[in-house]
Amino acid sequence: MMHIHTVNFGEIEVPVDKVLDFKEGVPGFPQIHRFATLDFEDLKPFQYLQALDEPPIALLIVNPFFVDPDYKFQLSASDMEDIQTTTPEDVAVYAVATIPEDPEQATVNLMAPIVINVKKRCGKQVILHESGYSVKHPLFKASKSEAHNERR
Amino acid sequence: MLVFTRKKGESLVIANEIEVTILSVGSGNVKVGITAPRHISVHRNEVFEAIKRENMAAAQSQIPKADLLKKLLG
Repeated sequence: MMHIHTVNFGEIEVPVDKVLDFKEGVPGFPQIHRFATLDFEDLKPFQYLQALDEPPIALLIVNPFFVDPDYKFQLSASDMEDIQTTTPEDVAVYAVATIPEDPEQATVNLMAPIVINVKKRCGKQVILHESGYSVKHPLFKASKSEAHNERR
Repeated sequence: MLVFTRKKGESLVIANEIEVTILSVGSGNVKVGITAPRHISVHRNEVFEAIKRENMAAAQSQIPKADLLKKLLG
């Protein structure tokens, strides 16, 4: 077990086999190489991607297919190589979510999903350059048409 | 900052393994080609910065409250 001090959840224990290796960190936090996903029954459909290195941040994540059922992208050969996979079956996909003070304005980043090789326990945040997906896709369906217009 | 003047078709080599080639020069834009080993990631700066900002905002994000979850699932 790893004993971790977190900002949001106090002291937590993370089993060693739940540790995810992010070789490059994520944009904005390149110094964080270890994360773990945290599940809380009362926060579904959200989960947290908790940093196990300093700073002890936690990114709110959500299944992107929950937000956009048609969401799809192709992982590049180099991204596949980075997460040591050859098959999509081993890959879990999450989108980073942001809930500002006004929760109606919550967004999810569909342009840069977090991809995790669940077998090898490693991951990265990939950037889908030509996908047309937004870094600020509205979370709520009511504003979906807006989201579409935002695509570039 | 190191500054070079290059013509169309000319290139630069960085650290023996990254080649930056000027492919075309238009009015107000330049097309640049980059050849680099796979482990070197190359991104448009504004895209990378936007993702950085989103991650930082996500790290400061509110914990989802029950009414938001209800609205989302309902």
